[in-house]
Amino acid sequence: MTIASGRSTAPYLDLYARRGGEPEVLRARRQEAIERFEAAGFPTGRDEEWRQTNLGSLLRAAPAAASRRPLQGGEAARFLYPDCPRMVFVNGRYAPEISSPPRQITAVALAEPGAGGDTEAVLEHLGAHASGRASCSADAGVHPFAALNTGLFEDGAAIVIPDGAVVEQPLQVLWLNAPAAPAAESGGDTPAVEVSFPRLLVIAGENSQASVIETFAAVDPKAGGYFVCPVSEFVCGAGSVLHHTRLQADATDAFHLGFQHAQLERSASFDSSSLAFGGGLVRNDTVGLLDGEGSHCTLDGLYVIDGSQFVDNHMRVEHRQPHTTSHQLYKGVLDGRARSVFNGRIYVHQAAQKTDAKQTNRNLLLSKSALANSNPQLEIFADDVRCTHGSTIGRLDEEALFYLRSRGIEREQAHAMLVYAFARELVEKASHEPLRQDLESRLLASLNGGGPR
Amino acid sequence: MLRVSDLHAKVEEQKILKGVDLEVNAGEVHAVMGPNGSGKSTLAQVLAGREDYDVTAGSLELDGDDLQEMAPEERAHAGLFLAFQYPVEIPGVGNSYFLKAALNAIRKARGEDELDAMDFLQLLRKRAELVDVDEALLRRPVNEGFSGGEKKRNEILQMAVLEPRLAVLDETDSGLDIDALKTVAAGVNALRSEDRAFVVITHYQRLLNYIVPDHVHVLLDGRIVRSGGSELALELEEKGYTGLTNGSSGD
Ligand SMILES: Nc1ncnc2c1ncn2[C@@H]1O[C@H](COP(=O)(O)OP(=O)(O)OP(=O)(O)O)[C@@H](O)[C@H]1O
Ligand SMILES: [Mg+2]
Repeated sequence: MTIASGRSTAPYLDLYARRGGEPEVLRARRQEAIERFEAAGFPTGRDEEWRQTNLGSLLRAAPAAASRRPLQGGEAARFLYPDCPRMVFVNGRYAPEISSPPRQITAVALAEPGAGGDTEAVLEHLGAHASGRASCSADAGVHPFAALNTGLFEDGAAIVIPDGAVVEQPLQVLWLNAPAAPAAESGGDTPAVEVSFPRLLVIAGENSQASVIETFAAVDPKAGGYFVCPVSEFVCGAGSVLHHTRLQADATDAFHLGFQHAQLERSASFDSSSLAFGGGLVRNDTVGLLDGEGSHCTLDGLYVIDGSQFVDNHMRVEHRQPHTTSHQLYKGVLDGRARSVFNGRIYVHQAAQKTDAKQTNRNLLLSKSALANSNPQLEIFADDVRCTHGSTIGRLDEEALFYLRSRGIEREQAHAMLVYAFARELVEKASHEPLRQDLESRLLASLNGGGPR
Repeated sequence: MLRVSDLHAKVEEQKILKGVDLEVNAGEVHAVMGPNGSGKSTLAQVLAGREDYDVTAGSLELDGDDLQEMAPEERAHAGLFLAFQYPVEIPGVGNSYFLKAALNAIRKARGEDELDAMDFLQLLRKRAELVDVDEALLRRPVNEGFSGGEKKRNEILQMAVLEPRLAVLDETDSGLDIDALKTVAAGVNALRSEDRAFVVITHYQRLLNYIVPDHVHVLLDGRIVRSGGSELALELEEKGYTGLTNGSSGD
């Protein structure tokens, strides 16, 4: 027994040893990933990239494979947009009976035999990007949770948009968490967490256009005790336009450590919005690789948190070719004792002349004990570039609050109006109307749930 | 309607109002004049219920109700309206959305039905026409990027929509061109009635040619040192405040 048993990788390696198996072609990649995970171990407070993310509560919990739980009728419905083709996963496993994948593109579950999840294109990309070794700048290191996902994902979605295809309707991928009721088995003071490893791969063919909405949600928002560890990879072919929305509405005491990675070829455009309302300990690592001349990525986000929620967004955008542009706008609304970290690294390679990079992080603190951290990091090795960054941490404008109240608007409503005004641009950029309405009502619900402030 | 007695107020430990008495009856228009820094806006903000202004002595009553017991929004529900000297910019909140929320909050508090979008829009259009506010301003965020004059007109538009019983206009005429001044005055005059009252804070006698007051008060160093009819404004114009204090301040 070592002192560091609380940070031991052993329980996770044990999950690996007992996993159900995988297609032959994946075996080597998995093995390699799990070895990398084992070698790296869990990050500690001494690890620069993880300094502000306290993993203690997660690593003290004993991981268990996610339970198999059939959905009761309608449990998924409230998270679905009726007009969208969809793929639904429950505890990381595909639920074909409530899924309706689109027809004109390949959208298959990775674990479904013969469905096409083992085609060459899929296998070529799967894990090649998020593995934490390939294609990242030298100092990026290994992302242990991405490696863990590669080693352990049971199922996932592979979406291949053919060259030139224009897909109007967004495809929704719902990652639903429904942990079994906590059993008495986990004796002592070691809580158990069910772990799932959602995996998404989107390959956007040349000059294709499509939208993908990922939704992370809990069947019972109060039943936490689970750990979701997703990886999403986006491979954006030349001239493609890909829109991505990531709505995270997990249970407020769930662990959510996600990794997303987009690689862009010439003139490709990737626009992603990440909206976080749920989760207790949340970390999102987002990587944008502008690998083709003239490519553009927009990485936006919103976090609206309360209580003891913690949300950490770690961004890395790499400009590797000339004439590439990137825009990041992250806004946070923090109440209670909530804490946030925004770490935005922009890395401009020497070859990437005429880079235009913009990064903004704005935080609104609604309580005395909420805390926001914002750390921009620019590393620029080209000389003809335009990079701007700005971050603000502020409180509600008391003068504006008084002005609204002096016109008869109740304090609570005035408060909500001002917070909504702060966050709305990130909700309103959603072009799919049912999605926009969903985001709006989630934002309003989280503003009205706070009681007197 | 409004009764202010021996009002003392301070801001950040600084005494600003040092015993203000003011009584306004329904149907009346009162003008309050006084040099910069004499406490006019402080009086207005205290009336509207601004929390960082401390009332240390005296009383404020609206229709017999103690205003100090009421939150700012409750004062608005009771029919009080303050046109701010410096209207606040509120990015992200649409002007017409804001006005609808305000009107419906007041109606709801009074037990009246809330207006639906159509009815509200109709009302808003009419009022905007009355005070000559461009429709483009209604679609923009509240006061954001408005010119000085546009902000003042927007205050008057709010007044015209909310139809308060007691409106306090804090230098609404400052920064207005002559046509705008006339429009604002016309807006006020259109609302004048037996059961409404106005307190008009101004530096310029000019406004009082258009909104003829029943009473004029001079606020000096936190006190009302003189009151009179509309002729007092003319006297001030001529002599200035120094002339006035030398002449007739009795206390
Ligand atoms: N927040 C504050 N902190 C400190 N002093 C303040 C504060 N607000 C107002 N004052 C002071 O109170 C005094 C009265 O201010 P007030 O705004 O009421 O004057 P006013 O009569 O409206 O002047 P003006 O004609 O210039 O608008 C001024 O000396 C001002 O500096
Ligand atoms: Mg003033």
